[in-house]
Amino acid sequence: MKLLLVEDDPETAAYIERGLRELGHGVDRAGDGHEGLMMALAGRYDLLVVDRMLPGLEGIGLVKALRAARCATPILILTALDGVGDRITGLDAGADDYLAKPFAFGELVARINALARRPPPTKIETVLRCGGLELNLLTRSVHYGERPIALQPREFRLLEVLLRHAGQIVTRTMLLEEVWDFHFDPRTSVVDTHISRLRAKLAEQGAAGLIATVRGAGYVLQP
Amino acid sequence: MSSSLKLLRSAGVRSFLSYAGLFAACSLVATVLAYWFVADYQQRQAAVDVAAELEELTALAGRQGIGALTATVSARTSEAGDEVYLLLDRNGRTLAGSLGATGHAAIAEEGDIPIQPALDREAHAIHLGAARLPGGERLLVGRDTYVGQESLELTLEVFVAGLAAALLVAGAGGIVASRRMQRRVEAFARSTLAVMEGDMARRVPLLGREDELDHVALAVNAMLERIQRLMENLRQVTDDIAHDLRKPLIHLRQRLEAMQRPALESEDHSGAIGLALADIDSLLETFGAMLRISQIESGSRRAGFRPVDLRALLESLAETYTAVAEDRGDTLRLSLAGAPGPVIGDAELITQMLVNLIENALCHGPRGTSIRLSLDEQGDGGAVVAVADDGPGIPAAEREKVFRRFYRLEPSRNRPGNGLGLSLVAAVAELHGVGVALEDNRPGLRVVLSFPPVPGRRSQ
Repeated sequence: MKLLLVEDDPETAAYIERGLRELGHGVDRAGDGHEGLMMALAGRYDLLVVDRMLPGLEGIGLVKALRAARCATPILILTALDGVGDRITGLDAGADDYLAKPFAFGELVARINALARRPPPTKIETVLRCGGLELNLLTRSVHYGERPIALQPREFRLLEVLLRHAGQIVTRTMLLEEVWDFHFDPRTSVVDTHISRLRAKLAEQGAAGLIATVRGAGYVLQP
Repeated sequence: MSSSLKLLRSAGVRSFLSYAGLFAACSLVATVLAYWFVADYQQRQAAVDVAAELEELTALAGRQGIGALTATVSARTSEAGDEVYLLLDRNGRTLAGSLGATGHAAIAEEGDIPIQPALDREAHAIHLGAARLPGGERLLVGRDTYVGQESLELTLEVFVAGLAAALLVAGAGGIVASRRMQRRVEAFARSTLAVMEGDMARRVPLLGREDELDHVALAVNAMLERIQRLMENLRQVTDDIAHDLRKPLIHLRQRLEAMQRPALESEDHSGAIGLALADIDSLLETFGAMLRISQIESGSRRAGFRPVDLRALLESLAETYTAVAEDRGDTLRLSLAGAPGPVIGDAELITQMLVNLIENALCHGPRGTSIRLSLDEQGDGGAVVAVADDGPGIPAAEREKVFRRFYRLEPSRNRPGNGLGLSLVAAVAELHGVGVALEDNRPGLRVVLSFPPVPGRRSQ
């Protein structure tokens, strides 16, 4: 993927750039808001990673300007500000995701992959499929081949999120946010507990091994 | 000189002066108008009287002759009153009446003389009318308007004097009232100055009169209360930082320093680095939690309050945590009674508050702990949420202290956790006006959250 990173702190920028290059992505760097805006409008990037505190035009302003210019590229905001309202401000401005520093690099990668992969907004999927598993969003039913699988609402939502990101690593933080709407870190193993129950129910109907654990990163659903 | 200048600058004196000025101007205008109208009325009335009497006497002369007229005029002249007369024969000799030179001058002209005021030798204004009789005689009738005018002028003088006196008295009263107001305002300013200089417990005095100044005083006192509380929190946070955050940083330093020693092998290195990273993560988490608590306490989240369905929230949490509890060998039950309506608040914060309480119960109890989550409706329509467990509980003596930041009970000192969970619960509860009570569950702990009733809703 071709990514644009707008970050003024040289150390953080080098850290992110190196990590992303190692994964095979092309990374361009801008050191302030105005430069970032110009590069974003001129180049065709798959995704933008924008720091919130920038000299010149600050992150939120940059995002608003891009959206006003009808730029639909996914934007992920990075920031040291993790206040209870800051995330909402960022998302309201038009960003697609918001990640607080310091972050685990794996978290950044997982979110970048998730954002870049989003289907165009005009296509609304009602059935999600992967390797024989089928989830129907309208009837709220799950089947493996012919066999129905009975899931609790939470388990259904968990499977739905994993299916939407099929083939990509989904971190625990992402699951907590999307499935439980928890924007904090619970002390107990909420995600792990429900994943293991989901796995058990899938295995009962013969759909074992679909959900794999990636140590230190998260979970991935793949055939 | 300076004190009278200060008086002029006072808002009270200024408003008094403008009211007084307005009142005085209106009164004067009214007075002048009244004077004109009455004076005009008096003149017209005099003219009407004179014309009527002229007609009467002329008719008398026509019926009964000059002799009768002369007698009548003489009789009327000798009566006391405002009327004056003059009757001249055709040669200009006085037949009857008392009008002197003026009368003669007026009659010297030919023809009927229009009715007009004139001055006689005593400088009174007299309303005159004249008529010429068929036999060549001249008759003059007049009204002396002296008394009317004098009384009108006297009234005017009395009124103006009265107005001046009233203004003076009001002015004096206004100055006294302003001085009193000024003293109150100065007491106000002194109190706030004392607060700025550090006396946080000082409050502005109230006089109990419930007037505008008392209202302002109440509002200012509420503000001062809040400032005092915020400063207390700030002080507590800095104390806590100095005290409890240095410890993990010291541990971290020791760990890193040990890694510098040449005896360490590469595997130990990566293990040690892993531990050091974990230390840093937990520190960051603690900082983050403290920051969040401070933000919640600052109250800025109130702006985003929306209706929150407690019943749905608890059902959702029960669904999530029943499984988590089972995996730990504990049990979680949900009991919903009553149907309290939605509360106004921040769903995210309320969720986190409840999660903290549930996880506390899970983490501090041994295997086999039983947890009960309940929702009830109070008599006044307010919702009551309770999280009860049969774990070790909190001794009565420590129940006040556990809400303090970083406070850990002795048995939990070495368990994971940073001691901020209940501080967050307290902060979120305070923000929502929710009462928090820690009770003995016999055995265990029961945390009771009492939500304020939403106005306009009564329990069924």
